[in-house]
Amino acid sequence: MKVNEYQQKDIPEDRIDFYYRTKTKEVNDILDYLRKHSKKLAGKINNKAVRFSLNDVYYFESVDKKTFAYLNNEVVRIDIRLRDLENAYFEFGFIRVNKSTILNIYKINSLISEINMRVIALLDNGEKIQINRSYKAKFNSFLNTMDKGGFQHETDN
Amino acid sequence: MKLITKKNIIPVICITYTIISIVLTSLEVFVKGKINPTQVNIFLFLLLSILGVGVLSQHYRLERFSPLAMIIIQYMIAIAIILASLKTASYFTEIHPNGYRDMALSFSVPYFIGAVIYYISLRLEVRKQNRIIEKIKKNKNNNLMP
Repeated sequence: MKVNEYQQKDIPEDRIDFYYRTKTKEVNDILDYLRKHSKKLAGKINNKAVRFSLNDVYYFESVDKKTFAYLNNEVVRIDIRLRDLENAYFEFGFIRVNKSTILNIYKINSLISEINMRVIALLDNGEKIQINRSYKAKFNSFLNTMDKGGFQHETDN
Repeated sequence: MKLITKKNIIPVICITYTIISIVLTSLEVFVKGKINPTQVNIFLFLLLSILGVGVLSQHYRLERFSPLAMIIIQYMIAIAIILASLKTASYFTEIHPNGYRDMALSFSVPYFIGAVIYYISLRLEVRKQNRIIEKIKKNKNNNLMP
């Protein structure tokens, strides 16, 4: 694949045009990454407005009807309901794993089955998130879909 | 519209069989005015089924407990119900001196075998999921890194 990059200071915003002959898995992965990276969310840290990339989110959590996005070292409060986040970003690897948490599967380091039969997701930043058994079947089928190439057919339409 | 389909044929047979058995047994007990041990058994298993389904239907309330804790809690509830039902039945029919022990064993052994199978299948499932996650992440990195 030929890659060219140009610097042009007078354009209103950065832009990527991607030309391909066939929409292969590789192309889809790159497009997914670009779309996900270009997805910016707005939120607040200590009442200060911030913008962050969806790629940087480890998980979303709802606490006392408030939604938070957990980044590597920061927690950002956002004004989007958990259900809306789940519907909007499932194709980017976000899946609900318990009543109050939506997890980015790309940030999972490994899964651990504990002696008490609980399944815990160990994240790249060392945090642990519990995968509840009532969400297990959905999580399994989600992983299988992602393994088979994700939800491209749905995003293409 | 088809009322009985491939999907619901087994539950329909079970429901029909249960209704016929219970109605005919009740009718026989009512007409004869006395109950024999076989009829007691039929009502006992009806009661056990209702209690069992009742306990299992409350499964979602135990979500905050770990699966191991849930298995133990459900076992204790189930065994208490079984022994209480047997005690109730003993007022209507004679129970063998080893009846309580045999009933507890015939429930406990398959229950704990089931629990061990669940534990092993969970570990295998997690191992498989780890392989898939590793593959998904590897594919993504391979496609995005130069």
